[in-house]
Amino acid sequence: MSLLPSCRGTYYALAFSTTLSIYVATYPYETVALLSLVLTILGVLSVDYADRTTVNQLIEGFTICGARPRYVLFAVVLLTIVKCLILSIPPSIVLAVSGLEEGLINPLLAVAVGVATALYEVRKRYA
Amino acid sequence: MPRDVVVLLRDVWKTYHTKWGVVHALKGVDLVIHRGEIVGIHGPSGAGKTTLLKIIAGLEKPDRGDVIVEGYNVCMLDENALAMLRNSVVGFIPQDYGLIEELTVIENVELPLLLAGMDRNERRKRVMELLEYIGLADKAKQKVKYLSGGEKQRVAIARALSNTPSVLLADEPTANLDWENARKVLELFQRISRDFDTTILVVSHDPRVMEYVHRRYELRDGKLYPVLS
Repeated sequence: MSLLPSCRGTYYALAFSTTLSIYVATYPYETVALLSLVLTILGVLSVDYADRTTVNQLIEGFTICGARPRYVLFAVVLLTIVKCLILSIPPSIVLAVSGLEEGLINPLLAVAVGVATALYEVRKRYA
Repeated sequence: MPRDVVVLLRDVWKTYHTKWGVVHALKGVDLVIHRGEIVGIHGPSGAGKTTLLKIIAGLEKPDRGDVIVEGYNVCMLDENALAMLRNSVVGFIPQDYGLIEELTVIENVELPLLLAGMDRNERRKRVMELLEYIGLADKAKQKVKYLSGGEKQRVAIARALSNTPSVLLADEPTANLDWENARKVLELFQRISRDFDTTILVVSHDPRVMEYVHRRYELRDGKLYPVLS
């Protein structure tokens, strides 16, 4: 069971690199926006799964110590936002400097996807 | 309920529906634990020991039966009330310690106090007292990820003790330790019970752990049987 998240992370990472290749190959054919979105989602999901330990430790630690569900949610969402921003801002700057302005919306997409997965994790705990 | 009964379980049932079928973890468990007692529950892996502890800690709900801890009927409490119970009445020590490895020892131990709204100076004073008590004051500022298994176990105990709970629940506290460290942890439980009159419930598959408890039970096929020493 402990291998499951890292395996799933690997699948996302593989999908990420495949999509990246398609992105590069089809860029001249104006499919940028959709692929950029898919890339962002896959990128966040792969890193999120690779780093699932911290989120789970936070949920478990806070729950055991008697944090109310809304505090657990706040802590997890805050961690996710910080993590997603750290992950997505550097590549977004690179994309923007290379002339792909679409890169600038990546941090927002990353945060949206990250928060959605964080909400899912907390909901699972309190379901 | 007599005053010195701290934990009372009456006809507790718990069933899990998994993709491999239905698992009856607990089948009508009855248990009474008095203040200051150390009670041990022994049983093979998968016997339902962790489920039993999680139900007492309010981390899981039983399908039926009554679970009363310090007069609170755990089954009737909402999530916020259960959080309060875990913060101040029950200290839970999971098998994997449940610590946040990126935080320091102090930060982990003070988390329940922070959630209880204690001010910073008071918090730090209380944490240092606890770390002195468990013999880890010199590691206070280290990140938990750099500690050994025995040290992590003691940090988890200190964290569980921080709000002076009446009940301490320990899930396989010696499973990840060599016997020398395991013995130290079990002696620490005895000292805690003596010094703070804390009720301690230890579950373990290791029969040696049962030498350190006042009363013991065997959990087999979801049922609890008293073992006469």
